[in-house]
Amino acid sequence: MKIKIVTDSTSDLSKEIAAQYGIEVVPLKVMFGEQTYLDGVDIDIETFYHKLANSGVFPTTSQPAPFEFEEVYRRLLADEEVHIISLHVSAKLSGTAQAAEIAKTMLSDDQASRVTVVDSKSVVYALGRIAIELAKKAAVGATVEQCLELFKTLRASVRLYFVVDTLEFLQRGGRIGKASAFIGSLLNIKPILTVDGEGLVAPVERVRGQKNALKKIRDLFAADFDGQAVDVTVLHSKALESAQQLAADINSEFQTSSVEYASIGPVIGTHVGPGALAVVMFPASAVQ
Amino acid sequence: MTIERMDGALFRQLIAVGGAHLQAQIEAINALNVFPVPDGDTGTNMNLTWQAAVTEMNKSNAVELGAIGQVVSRGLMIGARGNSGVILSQLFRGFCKYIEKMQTMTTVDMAAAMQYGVDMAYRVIQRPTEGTILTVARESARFALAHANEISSFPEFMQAVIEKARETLNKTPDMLPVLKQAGVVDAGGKGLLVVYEGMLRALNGDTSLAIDYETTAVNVQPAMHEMAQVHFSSGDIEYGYCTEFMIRLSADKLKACPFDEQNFRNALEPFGDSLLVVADESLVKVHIHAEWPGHVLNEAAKYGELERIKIDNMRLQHEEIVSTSTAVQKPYGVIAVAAGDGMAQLFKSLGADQVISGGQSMNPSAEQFLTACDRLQAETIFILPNNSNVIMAARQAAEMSTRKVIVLPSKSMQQGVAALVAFQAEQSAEHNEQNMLATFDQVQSGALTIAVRDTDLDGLTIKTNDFIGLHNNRLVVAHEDAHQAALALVEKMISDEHFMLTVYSGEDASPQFVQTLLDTLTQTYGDLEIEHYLGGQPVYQLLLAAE
Repeated sequence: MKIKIVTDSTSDLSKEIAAQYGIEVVPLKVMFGEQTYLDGVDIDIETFYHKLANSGVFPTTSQPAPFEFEEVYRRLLADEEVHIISLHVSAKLSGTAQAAEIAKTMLSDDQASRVTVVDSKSVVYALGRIAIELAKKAAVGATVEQCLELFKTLRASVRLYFVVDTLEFLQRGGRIGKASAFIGSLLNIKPILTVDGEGLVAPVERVRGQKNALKKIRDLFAADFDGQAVDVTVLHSKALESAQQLAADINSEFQTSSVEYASIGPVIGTHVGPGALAVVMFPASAVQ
Repeated sequence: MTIERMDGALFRQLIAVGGAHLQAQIEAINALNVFPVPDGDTGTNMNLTWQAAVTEMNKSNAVELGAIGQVVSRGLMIGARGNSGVILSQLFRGFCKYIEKMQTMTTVDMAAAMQYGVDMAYRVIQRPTEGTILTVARESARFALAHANEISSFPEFMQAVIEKARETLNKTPDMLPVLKQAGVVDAGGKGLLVVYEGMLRALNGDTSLAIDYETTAVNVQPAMHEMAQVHFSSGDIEYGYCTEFMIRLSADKLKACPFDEQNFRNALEPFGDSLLVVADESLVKVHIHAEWPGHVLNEAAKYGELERIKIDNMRLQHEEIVSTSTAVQKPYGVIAVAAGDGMAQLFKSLGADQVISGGQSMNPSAEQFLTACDRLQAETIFILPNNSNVIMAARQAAEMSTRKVIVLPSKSMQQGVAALVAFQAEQSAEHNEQNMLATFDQVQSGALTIAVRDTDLDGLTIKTNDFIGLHNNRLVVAHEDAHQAALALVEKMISDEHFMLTVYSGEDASPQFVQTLLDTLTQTYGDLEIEHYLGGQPVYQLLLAAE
């Protein structure tokens, strides 16, 4: 049996990384008015943020159509030894996992029995990193059950906090969840957000100013990991300089096994807007 | 004349003349101001506290000593404002509690009652400071207890207590260094002495300080009405109209119909209850709950012209109160005290449901907090007093309210803002309380204002009209130039731990001054995020928050 990992473009995996681990990435879509782009396929990050700032049209996003999943599934399942774990963005944030489930019903019974769709209850590189770890585990001969077990462990151990420059984008995209109470203040208030255990965007705390917010994020991680070595990814939407500063601060305050950067892609970028910073941490012991 | 037993009638005079004497001395007490800044005025606060008691007493027709005490106690509680006002209210609430079952009292009873009051006051003070009203009250009570056995005559007893109180007051500068530096005795202690002195006047039969009930009479307290009224139904109200008016006695009419206060009261008695008649030579004030208010007015019009007639339908009022009281509750309500339109708006935008106007020079009363609490349909109510001199009145209201009220003792509006930023409606009350309290230490509060007199304080020589800077309510900077004073103040406030400076400009701050300052600050503190907001607060050109 061979296990293949399928995920979606909200996982922020680059083409190179996806290819390296044999992960299939199904793109979501970004629409500027009439124009539809496949996330990470016909629109890259630079172009997207440039359009976001200059086009005057507010973009919208949509999940992949079921047939797009069906196509990928059929292609992979042609090899009769293949079993698919299809791991997707939180169902509370997107209908992607649902589209995958529908695609599964379009398959023959035999094929369908070889597809496991999983709601990751997560997003961005927290999702992407879990997909990588599952691919690595599968590559060394793990069973589907063992992979799903690993998913649970990783999902439980990952922590994600983020801060947006403005809540406007989350609000427009309707993905603000429980954070709606923060709108409308006359001061520069930075809510610190997370994706909670149910996969919803949830406020953790709110503070004044960007720098205080980043300090608070580090404090939250310090409390979560309590001196353990950590594997860190700093994500940003057009805020590389701040991301680098944040990474440097994390490096000096934490025992880190790895610190990397990633850009937040167009679909998530539509919902958080430019200037967002997010940090994903796994305990170093949980990832290889 | 020796008075060895005090009855209700005499006690009423003590409260009334004590209050009149306090009212006459407001300015003298206000002048005992430690800081050269417009301060939470102790005399004003104590007087407003006491007048609320006098008003309650005047509205009541209680005769017995203990019953009058209960009314006085309630008035003190709802009127309490400012720290000295709250302590004064506790001192006499304790006093009244001790005598609540008595019909008359002796000097021994009075001494014990004074001690009871001191105990009650100490209970509400978390960190009692020597050299304040508390010291004066405690030493007076201790002296009274030790000597009441020997002095059974009330005037002599009171005279001796006053001497002890004055002696203690004069020692307060030795106990509290800030008083010595400022060259004053403690203002709250002085206020208490003034009340005692007024009481002695009453004991000596000197009621020349006639009480101006027109200025002291306050409308019936809506908050207390509401609290009392939810417990019975509108149909239970026997006399439906709260009727208040004044009679300006006219010589012509008096010829035909001479006015006698007691006869007049007897004539009105059958029309209703809660009857109150207060008369002097030319005016009579009447308050009655009557079913047929016209009958009352007809009776009164026999003696003169009717003025300021106010008739409220209490059944309708009651229905409104009950319907709002039983409306759907939300989990949280927030009450904040703010001075300045901009600051009030800011607090509202941050989620405060009620903003009570007030602060440094105008301290809200416990009653204002109670009213605000009653208006809020919330399970848990947080109060941000935003001034150290307002915290106790808020706590008093919290104690009285039938709701769950949590007072977060914020000492500045800057702390209040920080706390409200941290508030999260989806978290538990306990979690929010802890989180909001934790923000107080994370914000440094600064304030820039103008000195109102020359003084030497904390090693600074200050001239009238100098700009002075306070850091966490301590005077740290004085300079004749506002810009320089502001820069020096910011320097005192900022450390490595701070990433953000918020500048709230006051109503007296010119836009040029603020812009120049913001420019300089941006150049000087490149790493700092600086935000400016039009606070519009009085007194302070600038309020600053470093966090």
